[in-house]
Amino acid sequence: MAFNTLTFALYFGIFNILYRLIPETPVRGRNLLLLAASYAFYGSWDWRFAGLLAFSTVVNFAIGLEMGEDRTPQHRKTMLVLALAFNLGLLGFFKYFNFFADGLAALLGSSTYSPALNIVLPLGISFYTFQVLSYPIDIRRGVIRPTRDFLDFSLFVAFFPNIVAGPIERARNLLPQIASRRPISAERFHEGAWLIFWGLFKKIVVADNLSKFTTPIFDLPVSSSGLQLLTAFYAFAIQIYADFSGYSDMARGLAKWMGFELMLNFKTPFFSPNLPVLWQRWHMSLTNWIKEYVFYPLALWRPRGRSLESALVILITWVLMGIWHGPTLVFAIWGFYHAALLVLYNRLLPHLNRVRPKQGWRLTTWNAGSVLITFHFFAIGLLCFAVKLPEEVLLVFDGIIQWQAPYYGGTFSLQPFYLLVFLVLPLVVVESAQARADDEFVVFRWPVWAKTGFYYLGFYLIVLYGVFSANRYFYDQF
Amino acid sequence: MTNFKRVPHAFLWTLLLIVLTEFFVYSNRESLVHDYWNKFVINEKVLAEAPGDYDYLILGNSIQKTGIRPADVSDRLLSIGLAGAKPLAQVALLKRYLRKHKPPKVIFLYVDPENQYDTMQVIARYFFDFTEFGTYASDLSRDERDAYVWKMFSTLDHRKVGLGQDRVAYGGPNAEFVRALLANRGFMQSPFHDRILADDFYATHKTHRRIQPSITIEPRDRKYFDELMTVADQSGIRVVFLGMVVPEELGAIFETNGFFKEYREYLAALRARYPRVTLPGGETFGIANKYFGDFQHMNDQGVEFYTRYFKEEVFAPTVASAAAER
Repeated sequence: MAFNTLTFALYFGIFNILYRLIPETPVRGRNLLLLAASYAFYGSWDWRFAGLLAFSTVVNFAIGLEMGEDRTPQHRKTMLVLALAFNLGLLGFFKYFNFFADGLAALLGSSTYSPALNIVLPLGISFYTFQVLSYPIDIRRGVIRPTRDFLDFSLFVAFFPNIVAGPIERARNLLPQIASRRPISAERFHEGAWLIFWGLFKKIVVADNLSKFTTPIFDLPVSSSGLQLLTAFYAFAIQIYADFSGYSDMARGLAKWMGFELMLNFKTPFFSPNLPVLWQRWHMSLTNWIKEYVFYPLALWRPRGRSLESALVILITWVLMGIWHGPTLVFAIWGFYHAALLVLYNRLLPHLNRVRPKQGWRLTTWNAGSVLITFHFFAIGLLCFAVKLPEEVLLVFDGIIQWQAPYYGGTFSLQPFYLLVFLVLPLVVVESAQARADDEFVVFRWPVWAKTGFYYLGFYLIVLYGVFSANRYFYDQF
Repeated sequence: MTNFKRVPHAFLWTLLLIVLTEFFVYSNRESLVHDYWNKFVINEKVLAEAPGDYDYLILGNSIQKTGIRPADVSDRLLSIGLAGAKPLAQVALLKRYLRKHKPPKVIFLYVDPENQYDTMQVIARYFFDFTEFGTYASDLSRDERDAYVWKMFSTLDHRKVGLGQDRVAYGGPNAEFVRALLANRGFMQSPFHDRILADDFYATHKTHRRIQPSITIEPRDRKYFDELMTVADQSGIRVVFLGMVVPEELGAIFETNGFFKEYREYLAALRARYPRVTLPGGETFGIANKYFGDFQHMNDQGVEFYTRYFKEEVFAPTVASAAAER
């Protein structure tokens, strides 16, 4: 029951009516309904997933209680280690067990026996594991106190708008909202409506139509022409952004309609002047999580009185980011690629600052060029998500550089391409307006006629060109 | 009470524009639907309610509609039918006809044994009015009911049918389509009228959806066949079965896999229940592939052949026996 289905629309419609019928205070009434709805939503994929979620909730809640202020620092530290072992163990078992089992079998030279199990990857496990982990870590750091309310904690873990694909919330942000009154003002409702509308547009009009174009090309890169590969290269970057940010927007919009504020996950990343800035604007909930809980602790770590090399810290962090997506070589390479780029950028930064124009058209050109170069470096990395094997990335580049002819002959039809450009255009217009104004709700400030025209156009693009049959999001596989 | 001052004006304007757009599209759906077969279904209402009475009606589906030219048979013959029609749709169509006309003397009825997949959705969407939908809703599947409800959101509905890749588009305006339908007394030229089906079509399309191993007769088909017979009986209409005509290559397959056998048994059972029903032309027969423009519908040559066959083997004996009875 993904957000972009009519079933979900009906489900959420009924839920929202019931939610509004329950008095705002005391909050337990609405929380109870929300928890039931969250489990029904999550269990709609596979009820066994809901069982795992409940198990994780009980264990983490118990660990949290054991980390109360009345406990000794040593006990709290032990509990944190236990929490890390439990959550990462769970994630490791479901997500990485087969990878390591196959690797072990290969290492032992066994071609017939592998201890790999037929494990189904629970939906969104990477997202909710990281979200839950923020709870014991923040308690240990003294940022929050453990909650004694099991209902509140269960809802924090299972909160349905973000359980499948983020944003990865922090306990310190979500738990207080769960425990307090959540008024749904007209402004909040309006913002939520925009986020749902815009998220749906990005997903079913832009991403799913681009996916129909890119998927067959990247499935068999050797049989596509150079022009097709080049076009698919750009289309895929936009597709992934539209898919993932579309989901995040919808999650945040739905949460707003329930009175919650989830963290921003994307902030016009393709308008970033360099990679560090881009990474502050792309999948912000994960990058901030990694920065806060992995990068800084590693950077501040002093084994034997000496700090680690910054390049090594970046490398560890980014390879970890890569394999968070999945235990494959291609994701590890993606992490390594970004680590290398960031280290290189840090080394080049003083030189770049020296040659950077100070004002005038040269500065404008420099800035535009920076945005373009940054986008291209990032899009190259995204190819790791488009293909299954690392060598296929090279095949794509080879095909573009050699300007290869299509293997099966035929010509590249521009007709679907024009349609795609037409469908992507509203995204470019809104994103550039958002980037210029640094305001995701910039559309609200447009004149009434422009807003009306835009809503009308967007609505009919959804109706006429929206892909209603694709009910998965690209990132829910992680 | 909603405080409209707090509702963004752009939202209200958009809502108004959407309502106007939907109203415009819904009012003009006959013209906007450019899929040939859906256009056929949508316009059959016009034909069934057109002035003039007929003594003889062909009540079939797209095979008869595109295969028999009434004008070449008799000036008292009209061909009505809906693409993929089974008894439920045929009852609805007959009732529509009888609302505006005197009952005919004879109905040439084709009882379709094939699985017609989602055609009832199209009929629910384009043919049924509100009262018909209310009458038959309990016998419709969920998808068929959805199809009816969703048509109210006409732009979405139009997209669903308009962008179908495997359906033939009709280029002319709706008025022209209707004019031809009325002038030809229900006969419609198949969009594949100038093509010839290859002799080995089914040999090269071994998994074609028309190669069905068994006949498809649902409980609702039996129920509405009985209702159709009741309506006919009450109106003093005589019912004559039309046999199933297929490309000979498919006929050979149906003879082998038992499809024809099952169909003959089914027709025999119906005739045992309704002994007055006659079957002058035989239950099943295959004619050369060259008479078909696609896997199902006849080309110009096929229309000549089938019309002549109908006139000589079905219509003439029926008229003669009716005269003799009198």
